[in-house]
Order: sequence, then structure tokens, then C-alpha cells
Amino acid sequence: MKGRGTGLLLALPGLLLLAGVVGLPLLYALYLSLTDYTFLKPSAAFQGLGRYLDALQDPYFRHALALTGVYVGLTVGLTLALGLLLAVLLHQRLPFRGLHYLAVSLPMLIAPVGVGLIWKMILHPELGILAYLFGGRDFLGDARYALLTLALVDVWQQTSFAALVLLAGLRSLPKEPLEAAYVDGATPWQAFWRVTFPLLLPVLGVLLILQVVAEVRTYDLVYVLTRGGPGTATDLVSFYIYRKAFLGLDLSGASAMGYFLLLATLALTALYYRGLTRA
Amino acid sequence: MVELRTVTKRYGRTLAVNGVSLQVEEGEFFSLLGPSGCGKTTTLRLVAGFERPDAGEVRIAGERVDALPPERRPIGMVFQSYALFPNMTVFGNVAFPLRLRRLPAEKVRKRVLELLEMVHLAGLEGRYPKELSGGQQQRVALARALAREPRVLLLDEPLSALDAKIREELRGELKRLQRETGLTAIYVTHDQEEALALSDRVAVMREGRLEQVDTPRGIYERPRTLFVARFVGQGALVPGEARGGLFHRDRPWPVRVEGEGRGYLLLRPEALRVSQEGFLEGRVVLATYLGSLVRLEVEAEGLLLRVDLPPEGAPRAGERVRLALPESAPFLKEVKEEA
Repeated sequence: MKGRGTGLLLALPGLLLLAGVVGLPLLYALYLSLTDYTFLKPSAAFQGLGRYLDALQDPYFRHALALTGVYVGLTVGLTLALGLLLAVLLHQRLPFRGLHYLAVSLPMLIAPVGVGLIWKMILHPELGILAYLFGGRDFLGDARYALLTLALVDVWQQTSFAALVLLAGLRSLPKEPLEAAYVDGATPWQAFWRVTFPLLLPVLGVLLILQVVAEVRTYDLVYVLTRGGPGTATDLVSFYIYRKAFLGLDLSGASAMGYFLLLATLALTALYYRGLTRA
Repeated sequence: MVELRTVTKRYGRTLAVNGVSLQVEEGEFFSLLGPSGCGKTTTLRLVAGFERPDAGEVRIAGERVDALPPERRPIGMVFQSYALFPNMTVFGNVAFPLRLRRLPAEKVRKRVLELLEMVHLAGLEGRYPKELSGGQQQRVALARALAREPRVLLLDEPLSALDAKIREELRGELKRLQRETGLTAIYVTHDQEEALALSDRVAVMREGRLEQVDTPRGIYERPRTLFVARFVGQGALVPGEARGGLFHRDRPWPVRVEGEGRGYLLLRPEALRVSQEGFLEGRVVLATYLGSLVRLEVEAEGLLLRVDLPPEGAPRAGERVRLALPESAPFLKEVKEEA
């Protein structure tokens, strides 16, 4: 008991700081979501769950949720597939291995805003190299391509993290089952799908949840590259909530929507921890 | 059946296997015995195809295989860590090599059940590896290795992760299975007792080289090097000289030896007897009861000799005894590098 008490005492300053930095804003947002507070009407009146019902009935919010669902599916699917491919390639005996690691790690080391700015230049309809190569096509300005382009930029950055996590997973797998599979007559392809891949599934599961949580919260890339446009083509839920609060000035409505997002993220995080303990 | 011709394998600056040549006959149980790092596992991995030799040839059934991957060699392998597929049931594990060959489902089923019967695991086909004991897991691994009907079975310390009782039980089963199937088996172990009990022939390895290849009896009774004498079995190495067919220390001992010159006389604990007319006089410094026998440590003429005796009437610590020497014993010439 004494040890536990000491531990708590030592953790207390950190916990207090966390409560101040994370807890207070969360509580304040909860309070706001239960009122009709806007920047235009600061004299807030208690609304109960009214703003939550408003959020569910808001067609733009529902559009943002649906769009986010498509975006998450696209980015996470591609990130995991490419990450796995890269991890398997890096797991081979390659010459200049350090150089390959560096190349794969680089996107992860750049801040998302930096990534956004770099790609904004690459995709610029007049100055960008990609627009030049594709006959002046405006990938971010065309509603048909904007979401996909945004997703691909995101995948470009996230794949390096996925590849490194999966590479660590591959490295930690026991090599004997794989060798046993070869002795049993499996080709490298069969050995990978029947032995390595199932063994890697716990790591893939954890990565899947981590990536989904990260992608649901995508904000910075949207802010830098498209501001949700053209129209509402890339209006992902995090960005829509930002717009609701600071452009629409509806802080209580945005708080209610923010809580929906928080609950979804918390549920995924709980899944992540479950996956982690199983892995 | 398996032949290695001056096979060499390096890892960086380490010479793991140094010009090893050996021949394993068809149906033979052949063990590679040696301490950690002696190159025995690397030798086995060269036969399996997980490693390619830097020089030399590996042949299986007359065919040169050193450029072939493991899946194209007629081998089955059992690993120390069982190497079962955790995502598959016992049935799935044993069926794995058969399914790879795209055999009809009914044929696979029949063969798997037959193999599980053979390793005494009938009825457990629906279990996952984590639901089995270590001994049961190794039986599954054995069944899986036999499923492909290999010509050579490679066993990499398959019993060393098991506790003593299961190890002994499984050792008997291994021998029985190998006899029944008539397979050629190459067995890697650092456990001398295991190697002697199981094998038709044993190769003792040291620092990537073969020290001696012989029958278990030959290895134990006629070790050719000091290393083999020290590594296999218990015994005292008494320094002295072989002269005129007898061993000499400060006087001639009544022990016949082969060869001439300086070297060591190997006295095994069971070769010495306590007797009133014994040649050496000494004092028992330790008597250890080991169930079926008592092991004495006797100090005599500045030597510490071990003697195994039946427990009845064995002398106690502190008693003075006379030791009778064997009529003949192995004499090992001094080699400079082994000093």
C-alpha cells in the first residue's frame, strides 16, 4: 500500500497538469454542448441534449461523417497494404539497408502541415510538377479528384509509420515456423500467406485501430490543402466541426459534434488497448 | 543417403563449419554432438537448405542439393521450439504439407489421422498448439515432419525444451518411429546421453570440425581426442607416458595402453573397482548416492578419481580404500592446441 501511495504522489503533479490541460477543456466543451451558446449569443441557456439531436439532424454533419467514413476506409486500407508491402521488402536482405530505412522513415518525420505545403506545391495547377505531367489538371480543385488526392497525400505520409511498425512485427516473429513451412514444401508466397501473415495479424490489428483513430481526426491536411473544398468535397468531420465553431460561430453545436467524435475515438482506443493486450 | 564433402560455412569472420566431410547411410540414426557454437546446428541447416555452403557439396540420395531450396529437398525437420503454426489446429498443422501438395481432402484426412495415431495423439486433432503440453506439441511437430514422407528426417535438439521425464519417454518414441519408418535421421544435440542412447553413429564436433565419427560405444570407450574424452562421459585424465605397452606415471601402472610417448590415460568411473589388492591407495573425499549407484571421489597419488559402485557396502567419505585399475584403458596423446 505504501508503494502505491508513493506512486500516486509522484504521479500527482503530472495528473493535475493533465486534468488542467485536457480535463478542463473537455468539461467546458461538455458544458457548452448542453447549452445554446454561440459567439453571437453568449448568454447561454440550458438545452439538455438538444444540440446533440440538432447535430444528428444536420445534413452537413451527416455528409461530413459519411465522407470521413469513405476517407478512413481509403486511407487506412491503402496505408496498411502499402505498409505491409514495404515492410516485407525491407525485411529482405537488401544492399544499403540503412538508406532504404531512411527513405521510408522520412515522410513520418515531417509535420503534417509541412507535408501539406509540400504537396500543395507539387499539386499546384500552374506551378506543380504533377499538374504539368497531367496536362494542367487541378487535382485539389476538382471535386471528382479532391478527396482521393487528399487521401493519397495522407497515405504517402502514414505509410512510413505503418511500414516501420509492421517491419518491427516481422522482425519479432519466430523464424522456425516459417522455416518449417519451407521444409514442408511451401513456396515463399505460400509461406507468407499461410504462416507469416496470420502470425502478423495481432500487429496488423493494433495498427489498423491506431490508423483509424488518426484518420478520423484528420484536420491539418484538409486545412492546408483544400479547406474542405471544392464545395464540401473534402469536408471531413474534424474540419467541419472547426468550421461550425469558428466560422459559423456555433460553439455549442460544434461541442456536441466534437463529443460524438470523441466517443467514436474513445471506442476505437478501447479496442486498441484490447488488441494491444492480446498482441 | 546424406553426404557432405568438405563443406565450409562462414559467418563474417567466424568459421562455423570447417571442411566437414561425412556420410550418413540409409536408415541410419546419426547424431551431431557437441557444445554450443561447435557448428552442429549449422551443419544440419546446410543439409536442410537454410544455409548455402561457401565451399563443398551437400548430397542427398546421390543428388547434389546445395543449390536447392529446402522445399525441393526430400527432408522433414523437427525444431527445438516445435515451430508449430499457432493459427492452425493439430489437424491443420499435420495436414499442412499434404495440402500444399493438393492431395484430395479424404486422403489428407486419412493420412493425418494415421500419423496422429502413430505419435499417440489420436483425438486431439481439433486442439490448438497452445492447448497442448510441450511433449504433445513436439509429437505434433514430428507427425508434421513425417507427413511429407521425407527420405531424411532432421532433428534440431527436439527434446531439449522438455522436462526430463517427457524427454526420456519421447526419446524412446523417436527411436521406435525411426526404426518403424526406416528413415534416415540426423539428430543434433549437446546431450551426450541422448546421442549415445539414440544413435547408430555419432559425430562429435568442435569449432566447426569433426573430432570423431564412430558408434556410441566407440565414442565412449575409444575416444580419439582429449576433447572427445572430456566431452563424452565422466572420467579422469591421468597425465603420464605410454612406454612398452604400459602406462607409466612415476612408476609403471598395470594398465595396457596403445601407442608411445606422453599423453593421458582415461579412467572411466565404472572401470575402477574398490579392492583389497588394488594398485592405488587413496581416501574417499566424497560419496554421492545416485539411486542405482554411489559415486565416490577418491584422492589417490595427487589425483581425483571417480568410481561408480553399487550402493550396498560402498565405502563412506573419509575411509581409506585401494583401487583396482582396468587391464587396459584409452591413452590419448598430448596435442599442443589442447593443452
